[in-house]
Amino acid sequence: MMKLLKYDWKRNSTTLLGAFAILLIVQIAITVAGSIRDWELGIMLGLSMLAYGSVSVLLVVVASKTFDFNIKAYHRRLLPVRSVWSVASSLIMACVSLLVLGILAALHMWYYWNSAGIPLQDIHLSEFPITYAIGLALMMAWKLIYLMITIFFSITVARSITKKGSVWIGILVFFALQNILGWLSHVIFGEKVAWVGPMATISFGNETDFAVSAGEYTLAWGALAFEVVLAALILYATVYLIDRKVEV
Amino acid sequence: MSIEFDNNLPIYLQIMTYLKKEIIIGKLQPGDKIPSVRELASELQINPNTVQRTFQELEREGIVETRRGLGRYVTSEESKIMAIKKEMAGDLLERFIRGMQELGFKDQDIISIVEDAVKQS
Amino acid sequence: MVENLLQVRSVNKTYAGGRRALHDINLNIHGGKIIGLLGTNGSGKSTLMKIAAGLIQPSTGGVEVNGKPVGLETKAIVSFMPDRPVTEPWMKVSDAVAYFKDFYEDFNVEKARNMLEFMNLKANDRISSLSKGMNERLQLTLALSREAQLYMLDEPIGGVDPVARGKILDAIVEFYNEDSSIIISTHLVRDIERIFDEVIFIRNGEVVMHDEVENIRLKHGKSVDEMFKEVYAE
Repeated sequence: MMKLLKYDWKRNSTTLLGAFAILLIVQIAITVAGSIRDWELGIMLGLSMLAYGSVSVLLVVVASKTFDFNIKAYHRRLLPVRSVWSVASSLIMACVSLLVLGILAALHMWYYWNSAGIPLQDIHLSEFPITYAIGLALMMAWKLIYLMITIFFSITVARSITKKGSVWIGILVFFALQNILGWLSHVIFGEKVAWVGPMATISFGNETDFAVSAGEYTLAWGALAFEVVLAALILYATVYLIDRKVEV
Repeated sequence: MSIEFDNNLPIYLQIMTYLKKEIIIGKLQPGDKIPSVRELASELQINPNTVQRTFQELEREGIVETRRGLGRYVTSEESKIMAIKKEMAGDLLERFIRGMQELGFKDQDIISIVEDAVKQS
Repeated sequence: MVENLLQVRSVNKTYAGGRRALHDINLNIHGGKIIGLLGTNGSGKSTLMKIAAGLIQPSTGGVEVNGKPVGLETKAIVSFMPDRPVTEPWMKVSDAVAYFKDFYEDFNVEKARNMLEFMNLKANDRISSLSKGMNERLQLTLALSREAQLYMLDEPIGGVDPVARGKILDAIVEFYNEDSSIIISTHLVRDIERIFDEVIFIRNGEVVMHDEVENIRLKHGKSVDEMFKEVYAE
């Protein structure tokens, strides 16, 4: 599977590196413009977040397009490799690239905190326990994985149908799957999602006041397990369709 | 080595005829080594199995012999080569005579026509 | 010689729109043969090859390679050259070779190097800048450099200049061995009929003839090309 990833990466390397280069330039531009024009920290942060958000969307698109390419490409379908690894490699591509993005964003936030000259004790980090942070990160990772799995399944469904309108059916399937999770979760477990409560709150007073406080949270283990099972089923269905229905 | 192949006739027969000719006219001397199946197939761009069949037939007729570990060689028996020469001539003659008879020539006419033709060529 | 290297049993293939591409195909191919799969465009040759290669599923029936049903295991012993490139535009020739080496255990890098030289291809050539003929040579090199048990080449000489064509036929004859078989699909019969052991005629998704080439010449006194014209006459 690492070999599959190697070639997926090589194919997309210019796109990905280009995107990160542009992101870097944009972020520097925001910082420079912000200090020249004396923008509020909030505005600069917002613009930065916007840039990171855009790139994260791009990364999801790249991973999705890679998956789409791989299930239709002759030279990939001819390989003596189980289809599940093709799904896995695109999934990992999405996770790793977004992880890198996340780390960049985190480092950037660190830089903002330092440059804003806010002493550490003013950031109420004590209210932000490590377990919470880890849980938050894991929950975001899981949300991403579930998202990618549903995207891949929808793409596979679209590619399994040869009639017109296959793309629309794929999109339909995607939205259905995204919403069905919450609905089923609610029906079975009485909760909307496994993560209850706001993830985190970042509040701004004036330029020198900056607080991050933990939201209320509980982890609904039952709902989470249900999500995992559902994701596994969708994954299995994806592989089945690739092997039996997606014709090259 | 180049042969004009006629795709309407079995290729292996055509190769056989060609090789026999080469032997008769002396281009391939008695005892000479013959190219391997692979070499010949590659040179003529034909199926190796076809070449194999050719060689098998030639061996059966005693024109070619396999020396284990060394390859295939033209027979050194001059008598065999003579026999082939006669056989090929015989085929030619038979076809010629039949063709002339079909045209309506009588036997005596055929002989005199041949004499004149040979004198002139 | 390997018996029943490729077995096609009662294969039917009907596409979703109702188009029937293959109808009750039964074939048995043994090892050590070079076989022509002949037919006009749309006759079903590519479909049959793709099924044997594992790219398409038959509607009914089955295909086995060396006794194993088409799937993961057979992909490792079947080398298929489809009618479109198996390389990616960003690759250089060396990348393509590396790709094959990475994923196919039976890929012979030495063989590939020799054949690339024979075909006048350099490791640093960018695939996107190769002419059609050079690209065909590359695709063939990649397919034939595997020590596979069954090779399937879909139209290897179509749309290719005579020089490249000659090189390709040369390569096929050179790299032939007695245990594996090569199936070549083409509609350009005259240039290539000399290298076939057997030919299979497919018309409208059905096998109309399967015979040894020399038999056709002996029995019918016709070349395969002439036979082809007869079989496919409108």
